[in-house]
Amino acid sequence: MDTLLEVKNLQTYFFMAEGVAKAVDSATFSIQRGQVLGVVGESGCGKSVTARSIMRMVRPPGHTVDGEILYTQTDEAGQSAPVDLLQLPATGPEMRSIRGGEIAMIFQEPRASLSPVHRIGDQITENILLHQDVSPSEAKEIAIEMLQQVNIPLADQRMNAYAHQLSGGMCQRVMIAMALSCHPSLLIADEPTTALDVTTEAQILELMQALQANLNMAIMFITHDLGIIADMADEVTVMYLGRVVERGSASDIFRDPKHPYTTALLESLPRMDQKREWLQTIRGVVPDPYSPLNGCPFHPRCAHFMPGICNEIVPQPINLEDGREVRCLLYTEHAV
Amino acid sequence: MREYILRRVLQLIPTLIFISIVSFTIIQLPPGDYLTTYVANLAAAGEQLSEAEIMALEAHYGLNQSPYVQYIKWITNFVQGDMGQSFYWDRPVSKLIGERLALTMVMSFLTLLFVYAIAIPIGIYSAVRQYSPTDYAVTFLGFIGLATPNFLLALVIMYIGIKYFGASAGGLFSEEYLDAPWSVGRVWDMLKHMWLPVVIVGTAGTAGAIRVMRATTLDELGRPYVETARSKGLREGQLTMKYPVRVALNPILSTIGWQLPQIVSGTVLVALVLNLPTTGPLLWRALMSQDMYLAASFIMILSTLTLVGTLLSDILLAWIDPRIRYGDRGSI
Repeated sequence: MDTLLEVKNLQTYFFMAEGVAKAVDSATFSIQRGQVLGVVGESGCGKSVTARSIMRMVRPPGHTVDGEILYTQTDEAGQSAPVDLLQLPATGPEMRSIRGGEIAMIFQEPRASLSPVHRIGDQITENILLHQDVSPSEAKEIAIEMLQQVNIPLADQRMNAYAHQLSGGMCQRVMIAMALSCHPSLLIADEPTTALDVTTEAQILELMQALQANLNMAIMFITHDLGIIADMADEVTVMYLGRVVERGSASDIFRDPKHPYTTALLESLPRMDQKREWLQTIRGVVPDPYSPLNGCPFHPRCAHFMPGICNEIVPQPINLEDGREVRCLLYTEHAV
Repeated sequence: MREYILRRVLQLIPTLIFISIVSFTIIQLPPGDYLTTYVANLAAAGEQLSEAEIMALEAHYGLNQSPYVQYIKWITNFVQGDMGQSFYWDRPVSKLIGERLALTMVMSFLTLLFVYAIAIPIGIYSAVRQYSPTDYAVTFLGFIGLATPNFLLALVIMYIGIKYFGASAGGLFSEEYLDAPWSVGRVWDMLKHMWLPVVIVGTAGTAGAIRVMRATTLDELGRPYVETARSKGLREGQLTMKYPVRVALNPILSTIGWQLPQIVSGTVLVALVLNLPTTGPLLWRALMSQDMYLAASFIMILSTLTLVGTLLSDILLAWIDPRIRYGDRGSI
């Protein structure tokens, strides 16, 4: 396997007046070159903070306190070597050249993610000029080409448009064009279709799949929508309260979920082939991040809760057969 | 854009007409007319106007005709620059206002520059380094600046000037230049005097503008488009200036126009305390002594400038913010 990005034991905490919120608490996963990693979990499970930690864009009071983010950088001679992004100064030149140049990001609210007072052409060419050695007029050419690639009609005229003149779907296409303008090897997509209607969502997903195949780029796709994951992802990482509770290939996880949380997530999906009166939900809510629970953080909501075990012992990641990993005491000697 | 400006200018006309009617009503409010007061004043001073002179003045202002005709006469004269006579000063209103207006404008313009030159950078810094010691220090000083009445500050500084430096802080000119014709030396002398009132008048404005700049910048700093800019790998300083600050400047720029009437009325109390030859004290005296042509002219000029100022603000805002410029056209 050709690993592009390896995140080890990532810990990003928010130091608030109320206490320390462990938004990402020892997350470990990896992304292979040219593959799509789906990151799923409920709101507040640390998906977005994980993405921003990789980009080194976590703002105070948030701080990445520990871990490694090994990014395999390929130099011009084709030699590749891993760099620990956490060792680079977050606003230093090396990190800034990776950010936007090699790892790009698109966001949840496409219109709000574009500047309200700059033309979209300016915003795309800005990215190109930052990372490529081209003249402003060449950058403009590339920008128009990128807009055409994301199927924006009349691309050269749209260069002069402002974000408020475009629909949400168009804005996300612009964001994608901007993110891909420097041919990144990894695109982090943080719920890119959550704010869009389903038709537009389908179009954007289709576009992303096509571009991903063309450009041979890896995507870290963050979503709470398991349907999208099933559609897009090669590998899946399931997060709960800042921890990776299960990871494996998408087909394995959908066929045979190991962690009770993953099982519960899958059961809460409406299914066409089963007639049910009620939609299955996961009981309870995500607990308060300021008051950490003893033992497994999922135990108050778990269907397989083992009293005296799950609320006492913190589960560690366990490697199962065929490269799967789960963080649950059911797969240890504690299980009865 | 051109249509927008044209439409806004046309909208000014009815408002201006309305204001002129109100101003004229103010002239008419005191009992008797201007001429009676004028003649009475002259009589008190032991002078007599001839019958012919009185008739000529009556005809000029249309005093023996209906209020409607008087209004038309007054506004026609006003537009042509004849604003009537100030009977308190016994001089034409246009002359009285004219000579002070230039000085007031210079002083107010410098004050405006002073306020923005200090407030904008500090406000941005305060927002970017929120809750840093500098932010707290600036906020503290800002609130003191806001809470201190300008005239009090002027008094305190005058006291200090006289007590410790033996110099009077009042006026805009040294004695030798007071009535001298304009020259390089006089301008230099004026500028030497002017910084003090500029700082005094600017203090509260600066404090207020720092708060506005800090708040709007803070508001923008957390917006998704700032995160996008950061995700491109822009330098922190560069992206702050290009994106959030650019948007945060809107409220500051859009209120520049409101400063225009302030430029004319000046800061009355400070000008009185510091004995500045600006328009502020003139307006104050006109109101105190029921000098109605002078007062009405002031009201007319202030209202017009308020409207022009608002218009300039709106044009400026439309120019810098495409959302306003294209607001009435919908999406393309």
